[in-house]
Amino acid sequence: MAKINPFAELNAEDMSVLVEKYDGKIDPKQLEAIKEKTFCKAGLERKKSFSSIKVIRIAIAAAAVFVVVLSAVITLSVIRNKPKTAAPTTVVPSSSVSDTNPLITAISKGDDKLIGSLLENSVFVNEDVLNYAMKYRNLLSYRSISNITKAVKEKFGMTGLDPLVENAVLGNSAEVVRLLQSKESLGSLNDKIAYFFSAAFCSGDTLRLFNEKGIEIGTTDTNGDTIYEIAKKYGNTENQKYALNMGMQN
Amino acid sequence: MTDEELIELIKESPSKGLEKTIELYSALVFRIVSATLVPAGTNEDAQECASDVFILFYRNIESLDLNKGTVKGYLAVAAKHHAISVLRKLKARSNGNIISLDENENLFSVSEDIEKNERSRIVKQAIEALGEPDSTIVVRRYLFGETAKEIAKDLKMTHEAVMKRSSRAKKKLKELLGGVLCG
Repeated sequence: MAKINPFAELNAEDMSVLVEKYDGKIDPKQLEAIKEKTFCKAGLERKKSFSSIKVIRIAIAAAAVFVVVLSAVITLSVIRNKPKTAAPTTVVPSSSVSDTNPLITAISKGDDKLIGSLLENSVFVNEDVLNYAMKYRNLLSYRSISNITKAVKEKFGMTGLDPLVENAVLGNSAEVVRLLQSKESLGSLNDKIAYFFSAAFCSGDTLRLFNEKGIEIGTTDTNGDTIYEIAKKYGNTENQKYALNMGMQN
Repeated sequence: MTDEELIELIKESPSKGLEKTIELYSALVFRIVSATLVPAGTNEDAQECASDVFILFYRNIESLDLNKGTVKGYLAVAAKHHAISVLRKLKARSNGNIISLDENENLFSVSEDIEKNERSRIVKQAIEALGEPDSTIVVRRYLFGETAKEIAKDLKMTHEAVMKRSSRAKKKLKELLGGVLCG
């Protein structure tokens, strides 16, 4: 006998009647999480209430403005003291992150080209961009994620990523090997992510260790690519050879 | 706030409008998607799915015909359909991959399919034909995924009475609609 799902048969008109009286409440944490995810996907900036994070951000922004103003004052005084024939020194105004961070919008839309251009200006790189990049990693190229990770690392000195993932994304083969040697077995989502990034940016040694420690050689990433296909896409001939030697098809 | 005012707000100020929509309807949407995703989804999946519904709503705001349903009704339909689609993907892909939102999905357009609309009418009539409190119990158990205990508390009935009525109502619906009911 066929299974039927009566509620899936309803159109908006009939459903409206059935749900009219519903007045359930939602856990504030769930509400916050849904808002956060929705605004992130929509590429819209939320007008949040004041939180400690916001206060810190405002303090950082104020400090940045102070530094810019101070350097402008110093530069102007230098210009005034210079001979009139000297080339004028211009103070480049610091660009500020707009209400909607275009880098986050580009990430959420998987626009690799735009991400590349925006990364040239570190002003768009904030604490959130890498979270979004990992969240939308199935929309982005590995190169973009690697570039975003590099930019975050350069700006903040740390990324907050799992160390194995971070080093794989950054192509630090030696560190990936060291971390892999210290692990008993692999299999978590982070381990798999690190495996795919290693296929793109690290050496064949790393892939061998991943496979020895439990990652299936034929595991595919969110785009359905194997390590062979990833290595080929990113021009990593060493890893292409490794995959072929391990019996993967060309 | 009326539906018309809400839509006007979204058009004037997407951030404020979307925030308001989520505040008003996230309980309903989250309830429906959670109830549908129960077999395979996590809380995180339900949050993702609910946020997708609001995104689809926001992107397809122009398709809404308020003469054919309320915002609440449209969101409930979209929540049910999107959750079923996510559940299928979750079952098919159990390796922890991110489920991306189908940008072309429009669950907010009014169907002109006479057959579909007729099926919808039959289902609604069958649910209403159960009479109260059975129709409320069926909607709350099988659409919102509420437990018999929660429903019993609200309707001031015993847990056992809700269980009995819900089982009887499900059987009756099955007779009215044919086939085996699933949530």
